Parts: sequence; structure tokens; C-alpha cells
Amino acid sequence: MNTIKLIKNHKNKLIPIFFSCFKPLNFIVLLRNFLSFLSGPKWEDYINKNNLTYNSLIKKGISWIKSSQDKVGSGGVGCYEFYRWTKGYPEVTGYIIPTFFECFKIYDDIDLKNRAIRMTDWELSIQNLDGGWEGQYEGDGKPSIVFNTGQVLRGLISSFKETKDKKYLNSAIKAADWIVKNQDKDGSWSSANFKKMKRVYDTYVTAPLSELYLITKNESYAKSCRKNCDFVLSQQNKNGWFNNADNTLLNNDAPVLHTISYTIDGLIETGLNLNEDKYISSAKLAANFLLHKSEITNFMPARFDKKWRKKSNYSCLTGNAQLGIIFLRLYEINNDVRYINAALKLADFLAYTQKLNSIGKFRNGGITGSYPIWGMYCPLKYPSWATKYYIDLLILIKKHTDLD
Amino acid sequence: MTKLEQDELSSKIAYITINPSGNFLKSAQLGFEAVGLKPKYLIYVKPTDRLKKEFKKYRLSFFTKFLFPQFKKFFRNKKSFSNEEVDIKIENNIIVSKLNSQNTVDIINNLGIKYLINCGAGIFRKKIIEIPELIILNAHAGKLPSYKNMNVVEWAIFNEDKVYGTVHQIDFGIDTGPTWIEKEIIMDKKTSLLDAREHAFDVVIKMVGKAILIHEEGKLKPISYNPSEGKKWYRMHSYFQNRVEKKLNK
Repeated sequence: MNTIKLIKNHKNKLIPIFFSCFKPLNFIVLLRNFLSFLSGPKWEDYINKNNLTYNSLIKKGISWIKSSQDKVGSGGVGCYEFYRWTKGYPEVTGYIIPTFFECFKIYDDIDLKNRAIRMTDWELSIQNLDGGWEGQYEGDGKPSIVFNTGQVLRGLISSFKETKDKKYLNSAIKAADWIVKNQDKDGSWSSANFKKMKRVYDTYVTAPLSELYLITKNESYAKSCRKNCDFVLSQQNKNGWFNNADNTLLNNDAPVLHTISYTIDGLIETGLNLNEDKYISSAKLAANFLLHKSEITNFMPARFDKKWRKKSNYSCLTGNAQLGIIFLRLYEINNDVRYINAALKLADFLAYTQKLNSIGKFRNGGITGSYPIWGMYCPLKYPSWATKYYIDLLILIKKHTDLD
Repeated sequence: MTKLEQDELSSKIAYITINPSGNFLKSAQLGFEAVGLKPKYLIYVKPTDRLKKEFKKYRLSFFTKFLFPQFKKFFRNKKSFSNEEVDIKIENNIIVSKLNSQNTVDIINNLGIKYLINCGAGIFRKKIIEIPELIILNAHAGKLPSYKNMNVVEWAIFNEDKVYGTVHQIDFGIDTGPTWIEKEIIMDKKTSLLDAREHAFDVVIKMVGKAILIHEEGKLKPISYNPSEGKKWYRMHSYFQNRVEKKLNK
């Protein structure tokens, strides 16, 4: 039933995607995934065994995002689908900006800084009059969405911090005011969100909002963040699993790791910014269940039901990278090396998939939506956010180990 | 304990394993022999389930990635972890196809087994754990509850903690049952991780016989923990393994 609905929703794309599978390079990627999936896990200690360096993997990822920005042309970053490059994605470009500034600092490459500024200026040029940003890709004609606006906020804040240019701060304040104004009474954001859904992963909005509070000292931002995070805590089960954590209506009973990770990461960041231990404890509860899962399985399944049982036979690669980041954030809080241990294994798996799918210049260095590539999270697609989180994960591993 | 009493006790003890040629079993036999016991039964759990699981995991490379390395490791091994040749006969070998099956339960009940020694049989489920009067013992090379689950020898070395051998009773959790006896394992002159691990396993499995004797004498005071206490450790990544090797080489 779900598959039929999915086909209905994406019928315009299905024909070009189907034919694109027969293009030689796409076909090779599919074949490699098929053989890899049949042969079983080969990624144990992948980076070390193949004499790869974290720097080389990060640079490959950066290079893929750079080519995405160049292909899109507007300044924003898009995704590669089997038959085309998409337009710029405001939400995703928003959170790629801090990654590029971070890479600029590590590699002292001015091009990365300039690109981050170009991304931010593009965001400014498409900000809606109400202060928000449209959902999905540029020009899709969608109204302003709280979640997406929150992610652009991340880019604006980091650009303001790097350049001290007030135009970024002013734009961020305008966006934040719009976000606060659209909050529901119970602390959630449903009226101005994707499909009007009440969801817990908006903690990934409260994280930059609470960061903006630290800069502006505007109490309404902190209040709004607390209200949302308290709502999220009320949605958490005793085993750490969150209700209403998926970004679809169909699969809300078994949310995807990507949005679960948004929720957890957002709680940690907000907890740290607002000095609220209860948010960090809630994040830790969920993260510890996922730590156990990630350690005992070959790869993390994409979806989990309310008992944390696997509900898919494919893995969401973005979620893997995000989870690794969550583990390293928790390591920063409590120095538990088990988190680094798990993050290193996730990085091995992701590096393996990066190599597996790096065929031809449009795919080289990018991370796909799923493993295997036809998995139902962004199938046959190289979403730019997967590569962004992968880079973030590798940077954090470098920071906490002596690996280069 | 008289010879007769030792024989009577031995007839109530069984090993359970999926690998009757493993070092673990050989070391256990040496440990029992040292305290005058000679367990009478070996329950061999056919590895069919494990093989099926691994086949599902590895599919195309099942033979090269899983099966051949396993053969290489275990085929006709007669040595203990401490490299001693072990040629102690076990009187009765019983084969079961599944660990947690009614057949296994019936065999344990019919033989009147009181102590079941886990030598790598897998995870015991309710069916087996709840057999009346049966005590399942496990040898674990880590202090409980701080070092539960896997690779605890290397994690203890990495954390610069002492390595302990612990004999504990198996309950519904992983390494959560009451501790019977524990002992510090001295790691002097261990230059590699493998060396350290094998030494720890050798010491701890040899402790099981002694633990049973103390229990029979009524002198045992098991220590229980809340299952949520302590930490679960997992397979160590090579990054940490290299660091442990460096520590050992110092």
C-alpha cells in the first residue's frame, strides 16, 4: 500500500529515473551495489585497511559539494539524481554553510569561505517577506516552512560569526521572529510546517534558535526553545523512542534514522545552549539504545518501530552520519570512549559506501541516500545533506582522535 | 571431597558448546582436572543456526569471509589457551540441533545435570534458564558489572583498569547474573592483544571448577547487581586496538 502511494507521489520522476538506470555509469553503480549487498559486510575497519586518510575522504566530500554548487549555479547546493542535478535546496544549503566555514579553518582554503558566503548571500536573496524560507527546492513555490527556515538560520548565524556582517544577523532575527510567531500553544510547530505535521524533530530548529538567543539575548527565543523541547520530552517513551518523529504521514510508526537523529542532536545542542540537563538526558536515553543497535548489527537499519526493532532492510546513510555526530557530541559531554568506538565504525561503513558509489564525476565523493542505493530513503539519489553530515562526522573524529 | 563424591559431582556437570575443538573447552577441562573433577557430559550444539545466520549475512562471500577462517581456527584443535595439549576424554557426547529447544531441555532434565558450563554455546533463552535446579555458569574475563559484554580484556587494559576473571551465573541479561567468584588476572609480559586475551580466557575458564567446589561446600556468597548497573562494551575498533597494543608493548 505504501509503495503504491509512493509511486503515485513520484510518478513524474519514475520514467526518467527508470531509463537513467541504463546509462552506463548509473548501471555500474547499481551493479556494484547489487554485488556488495549480496556479498555481505565488507566495511569492518575499512578506512584503516585501505590506507585511507580522513583528510582525503573529507576533501572528496567537499569536492562533491563544490561541484553541486557549481552545477546548480545560483549559489545554493542541490542533489544529484540519476538523471539530473536538482535546483538549490535552501534548507540544506543553510546547514552546509557552517560545514564549509569549518573546513576553511582546517584546510585554510579561502575558496571554501567564499563559497560559504555565496551560499549565504543566495539564501538572503530568496528569503520570503514573512522572514521564512520555502520548503523543498528553490522555486518549487512552497510556502515558508519552520523546519527549513531553522536550518537556514544555522547558516546565517555562522556567516555572521565569521564575517561580523550585520545583514546576516538581521536576516536571522527576522527569520527567528517568524518562527516564534508561528509556534503552537503546546510548543510544537504544525501550522507552518511540512504537511502541517506536528513533529519532534523541530528540536533541530530550537538548536540554532537557542544559539541566536545566546547572541541577541532575546528571551522570547529561549522561551520558545524550552516550550518546544518540553513538548518533545512529552513525546518520548520510556525506552527513549520518540512518537511523531518521521517526516512522512505513512511511516510515522517507524521513523527514519535521519529524523530521529535530528531530534536527538537538536536536544543536545539546545540543552547545551540553554544549560538544560533534562534535554541532554533525554537525548542520551535515545542515543544509548541506538549505540547498542549500531554495535550489534552489520549496518543500522533505516527505520525503527517503538520497540527499536528494525523496520527496513536498507540503511539511511545520512542517519548513520548524524548518529556518529551525536555519539561524538555525547563523548564531548561525558568522555565515554564507547561513543568514539561506535562513531569510528559508522565512519568505516560510510567511507565504504562513498567508494562504492563514486563512479564518474557527478558521483565522485558523494554519499547516497541509502545503502543499497535503491533503499527507500532517497533512492538512486546523492542528497547533499548526506555528504554534509559525513564530512561533519569525519571532522569530529579527527578532532577527538589523532587520526589524520 | 572423596573420589566417590568427586565422581558423583562430575556426573552432574556438562559442558555446552558449538565448538567441541575450541581452546575454551580445553582450558575448562584443565581447570576441572586441577580440582579433581571430570565433567561427564558434553552437549554439542550443532552450528546449523549460526551458519544459516552467517550465510544470510555474507551471502556471496560466505565461504571466503566466514566458513574457511572458522575452519582454519578450530579444526581439530587439541590445545588449551595456554597451549597445553589436552587429551581428557569426555564420557558422553550429546548432539543437539538447537540450543534453545525442547530437545535440549529434555536432555538436561533426563541426565540430571545440575551445572551447565557455557563454553561458547550462544545466548540462552528463558526455556533453558528456567529449568528447575539447573545452574548455568559462564566465565567472563572482566569485572562485573563495570565490564559487561565484549572485548572487555582490551577495554580494561585501554582504560588502565585491572583485568578480572569472573565466574557468574547466567540469567536473562548479558553478563547480568550474580557473580560467584572473581580474581584479578595478572597481565605481566603480555606483548600482544591476542596474547593478553588468550591468557585472560585461560585463567577465567579454569576458575569454573573451583567455583563449583566452593558452591558445593556451601561457602559461596554470590554478589548480585541491578541489571542496569555498569557498562556494556562492544567490539573494539582497530584504532583502540592499536593503542592497547602500544600500551602492552610499553
